[in-house]
Amino acid sequence: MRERVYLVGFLVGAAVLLYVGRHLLEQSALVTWGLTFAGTTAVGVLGITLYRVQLELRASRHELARKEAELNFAYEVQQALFPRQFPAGAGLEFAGACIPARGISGDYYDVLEFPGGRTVFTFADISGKGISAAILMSNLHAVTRMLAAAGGSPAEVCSRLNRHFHQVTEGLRFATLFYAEWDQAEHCLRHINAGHMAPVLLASSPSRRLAASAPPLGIFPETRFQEERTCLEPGDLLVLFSDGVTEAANSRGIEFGESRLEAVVAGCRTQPLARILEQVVKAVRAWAGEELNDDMTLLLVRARRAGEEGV
Amino acid sequence: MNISGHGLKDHLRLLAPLIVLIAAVWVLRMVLDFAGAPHIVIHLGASVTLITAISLLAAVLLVHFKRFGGYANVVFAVFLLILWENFLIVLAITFSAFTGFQTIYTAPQYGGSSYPGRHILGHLTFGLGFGTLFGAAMDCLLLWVLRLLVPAAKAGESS
Repeated sequence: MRERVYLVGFLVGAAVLLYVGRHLLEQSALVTWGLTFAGTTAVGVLGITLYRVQLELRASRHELARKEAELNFAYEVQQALFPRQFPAGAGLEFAGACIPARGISGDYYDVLEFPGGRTVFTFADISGKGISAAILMSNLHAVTRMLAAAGGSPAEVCSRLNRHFHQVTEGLRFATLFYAEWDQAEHCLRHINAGHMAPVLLASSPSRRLAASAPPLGIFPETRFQEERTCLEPGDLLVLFSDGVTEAANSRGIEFGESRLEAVVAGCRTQPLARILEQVVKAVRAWAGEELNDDMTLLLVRARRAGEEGV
Repeated sequence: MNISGHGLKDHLRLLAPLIVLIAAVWVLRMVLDFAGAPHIVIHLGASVTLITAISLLAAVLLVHFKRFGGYANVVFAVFLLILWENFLIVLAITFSAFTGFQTIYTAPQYGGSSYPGRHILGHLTFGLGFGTLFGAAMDCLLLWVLRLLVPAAKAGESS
């Protein structure tokens, strides 16, 4: 209250002085003072605004650096979820790569080996990109491992996964999944393709696709999954890929496509899997450029010839 | 008198560098004048009005960033600086009136055509009143902009 009294007192006093002396100084003094005071005030406002912008920029830069560090850490954690070594003794050889478009990925693949020659491999693509897809990916990864370890059939595992994913995402997100179980004794795969891009099987006979037989996980709470069975001859090569590979578009908007992918793999199918992987990535990058629009993930699975040792 | 917990001495302590700065420019202006520098050079190179305007700007920044007080403190600070400016001008006019030395303050284009007493009175009334009112309006606007854009705590964090 006292401050207000002083404030009003000063202003009224100044106004009285101004009125009393209104004819005592020349008008030019008024103009000079007015312009000078207004000019410095304008400069002051500009300076304050720029200072604020600088503060905001500095804060944004800190925030960006922090988020980048977090993303890098998330990327490292996610990379650790991918198999570091593939099982070598079950009659299959594997090679895989996941190249995320935005630091972390919603794609994943996994290869699990259980006692008795039972080997399971999965390949999934979560809808969406970035952090939310990566979180769902790690969740799906963990639950798949747990269910596969429990020893259920591919249909049972996929049904449970579907229920879990639908519950977690409340039906708002979905995941395409290819789940396969390798029976070493019979040299056959029991597999389910839940809405995923049909993997290419390059066999001694004409190549064929393991097309989807069920909708993606998470769309419907109850889905019946029908297992399919595919037997592999030694040297047969199964190519699992995400849409980031085939939908990589060039500058004219033309996608890389499955036929180009098949042609690249067919051209070097007898080479070591790591080399084939390298060739595919190189071809896609040459087609679409270095900047990826979507996560690019590949898993190559080849049936060993009799007597071949694991790497 | 106590405004937001600060008396006259506190205000003078806060404004001391600015008071010294205005006085220094005034001295420079007088020295240049005595040395025979052209009035246009003195007017543009050593302007007490300009340095007072800059001091008013600095006073707002000091009040805000040192968390000295609010609008009442700013108005009081403006009054003190304008009073000091006009006191120095009156001093120069009085000096000319008593010694007969003509200074820039008694030059016709700077109001020196009138009688010294009228000129002095003009500065002590119109000069002080206009400077305080206009300066307070400008400084309060600046303080408002400062509070809006750069809260004192935020500015402190960045330093």
